[in-house]
Amino acid sequence: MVDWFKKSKDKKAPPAEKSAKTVEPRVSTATAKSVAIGKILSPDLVLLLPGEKDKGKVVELLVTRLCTVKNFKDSSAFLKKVMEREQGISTTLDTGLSLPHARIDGITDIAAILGVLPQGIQDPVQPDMTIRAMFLFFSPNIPSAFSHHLHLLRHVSAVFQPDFIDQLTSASHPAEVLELIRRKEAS
Amino acid sequence: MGQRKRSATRVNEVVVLTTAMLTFISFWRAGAIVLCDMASTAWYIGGIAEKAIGQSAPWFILAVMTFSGCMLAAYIEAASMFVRGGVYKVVRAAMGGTVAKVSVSALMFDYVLTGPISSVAAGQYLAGLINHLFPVFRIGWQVDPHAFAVIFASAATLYFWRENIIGIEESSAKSLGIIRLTGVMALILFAWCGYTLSVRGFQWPPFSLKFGSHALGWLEHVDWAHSIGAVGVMVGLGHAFLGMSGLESLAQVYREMEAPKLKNLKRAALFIFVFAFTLTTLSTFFAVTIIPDAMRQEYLDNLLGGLAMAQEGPRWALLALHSFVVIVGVMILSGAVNTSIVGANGVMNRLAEDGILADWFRWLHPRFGTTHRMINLVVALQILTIVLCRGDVYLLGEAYAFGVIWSFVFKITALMVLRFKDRSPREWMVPLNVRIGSVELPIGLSMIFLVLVAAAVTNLATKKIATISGVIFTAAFYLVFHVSEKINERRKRVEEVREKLNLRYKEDITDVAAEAKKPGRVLVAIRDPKNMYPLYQALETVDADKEDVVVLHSRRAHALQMGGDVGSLGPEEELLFTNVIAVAEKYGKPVIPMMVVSNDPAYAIAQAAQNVGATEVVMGASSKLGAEVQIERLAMTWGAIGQRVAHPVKVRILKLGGVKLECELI
Repeated sequence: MVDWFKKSKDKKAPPAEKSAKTVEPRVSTATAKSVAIGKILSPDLVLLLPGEKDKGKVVELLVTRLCTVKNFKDSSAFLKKVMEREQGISTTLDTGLSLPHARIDGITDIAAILGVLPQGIQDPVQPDMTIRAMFLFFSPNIPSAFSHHLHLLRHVSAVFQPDFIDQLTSASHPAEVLELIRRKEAS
Repeated sequence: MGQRKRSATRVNEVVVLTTAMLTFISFWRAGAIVLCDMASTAWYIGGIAEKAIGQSAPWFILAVMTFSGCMLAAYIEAASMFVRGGVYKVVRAAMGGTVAKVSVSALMFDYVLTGPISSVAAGQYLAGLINHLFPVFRIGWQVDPHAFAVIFASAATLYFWRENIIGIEESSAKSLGIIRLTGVMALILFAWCGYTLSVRGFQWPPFSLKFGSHALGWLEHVDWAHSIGAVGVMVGLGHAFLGMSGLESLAQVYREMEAPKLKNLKRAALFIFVFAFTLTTLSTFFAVTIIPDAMRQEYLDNLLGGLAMAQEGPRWALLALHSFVVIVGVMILSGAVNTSIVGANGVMNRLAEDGILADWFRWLHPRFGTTHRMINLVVALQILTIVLCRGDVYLLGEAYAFGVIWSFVFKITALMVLRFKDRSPREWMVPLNVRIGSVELPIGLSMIFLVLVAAAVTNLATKKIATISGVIFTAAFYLVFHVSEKINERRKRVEEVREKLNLRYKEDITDVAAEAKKPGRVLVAIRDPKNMYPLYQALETVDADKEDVVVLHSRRAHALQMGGDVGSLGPEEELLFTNVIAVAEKYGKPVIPMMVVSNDPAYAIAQAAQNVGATEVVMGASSKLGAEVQIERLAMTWGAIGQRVAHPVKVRILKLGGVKLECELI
């Protein structure tokens, strides 16, 4: 009788996943391995694109170069995946960074390429946003890699702030860009 | 750096919404609010019942208080069906708007009289004590009990009017304190009674009915009625039904009860039953067995005071006991005024939600967020009643029973109808249900109904003042509600009722950190008023003692209109936040509703989550885009905001039926 009157703590409901149907596989909540942009990129995976004006063309250029460097066959299929993803929620941020990407079957690790656009190009979907850096990447299309995929998105967004993009657009050589990125991550 | 123009996706201004409806109380406080009405009847029911039916009154009070357990069971079933319940909602669901308006009109009569009878009785007790103490201090004055009662009752009513304008949390705390003190007083008084009986001996009160003048009302000259014992029993019960007043307040405070709601409701009901039964029954039994008959007649308006003075012991000790009983009586009876205001306010809110009362009544106090206009109306009627009754407790008591018993009749009838009309599973049902095939017969409810109807019909015939005043008052209120409803219809108020909210502007989103105070903070993003699923899930699992729940809505605005202008809430947003509050009430867990304006909901969520220090973010899955795409955008905006976050944040994207996606952002 006395116990019954004691204020009971809320009993936590059983985890929803035990009783509910999930439509897609759930992502592991384990902490993802750390990401370092400077290690993913190399000088041949950094492009300075001063004259470009069209986002679609820039994406195609980056996909083609990335597939060539990484020896991925059928770059058109990769491009198609990236453009499909671009039909969803915007991948452009108000910091001036764009993050087109795709999850690809058959690859085992993240492959990325950076395009620097000193003049900036207008995002066709969000005209009030100007893209001055485009970080395009492919990540493995497996559930266990999704956490890493999200961390990369977050990390790249955090690193590529407007001031930093200013520095990148002032660089004259891909190696200089890469050095700036590595120094930024180290700090 | 100065060349680019950052788009208007980031949030600057935030609106935090507040309402007194998001304050939740423990079952102790909820029970105390009800007991301040129900248990306070112990101070006057004995005298009123004995004036009407003689020395057998304690037996009838015992029967009624036992029956109150059955009524409490019915209220639990009704409350489990309707969070914002009460007799109006239940009767309307079962029997339609017209009957519901009649029932609530009768209930309003109950509430309007509860305050005056309690406060006038308190005034009578106080006057009696003062008149006892004046000679002790050699003061040659005597106060007129009736005049004193009117003045005191008015003052007490105005005090609790102010308390309710401020908000329920303050008044429920005081109610709890009053009940605690009443418990102490009861223990001392009953222990002393036990001692007195051990010295003097004990005799049970007689069973025989002895009707006072006017106790039979219109049946006084109906000879056949006198010969039917059952009629006499029902008349007796009818005069003791006052003991069950206050139960409707349980339905009104249920929405304020904290989680787990139904469990706490049952605890509150048990607490109320045990306390009221023990106090009311024992005090009236002791009064009849201890106070000599001749002395008791002088104390019928002041029965427990008489009980104190009739004990064994030195006079100074009896005066001290008398003083204690009166002080506690004054406090609990005054607390009943508070309960009546709380209850009436709740009932009128239900009516306003249905468009019965003009919207003018629902406007919140600009400072305290309470429905002050409704409170003002009820208090005004109570003050008027106090003045008109001229301090006569018996007069008030007789009139009071009308509203009590007829609101019960309507409620039980509605519950029985709903058993057949609404076959959805109940969280709890009044026991004694017999299943025959596919039909479940509510035997328990039927028995309660029969007793109530018998007592109600008997009361109609035997309580002239109650019947006349009750019918007039009920008709008047019904007319007001009916006309008000017609006025609302003519104004084509077809929109759904919205919760009235106060808006607090924050110029900088970084200021929202102060809104959440608990170590855990869960941010729930809500977009669609019809899809509260993420909030349901969050409140289902959150520990309200350790975690704050921030409910965020992001209003989209075109870039040209941007300037961070949140302005006032639009109709869709009012509906959304009304539904948010309804869900919070259902779980009995407070939430902090916020609204921002942003072109990008992901930015809004990320900014709000980081600034509030969220440990978890919950949102619904988009059917168009997919959960993975949603969380990718959140991850991007999370990083783009550029704030350092001290701890990993769990993100859950929910779809009806279960978790769709769950991850951590560091």
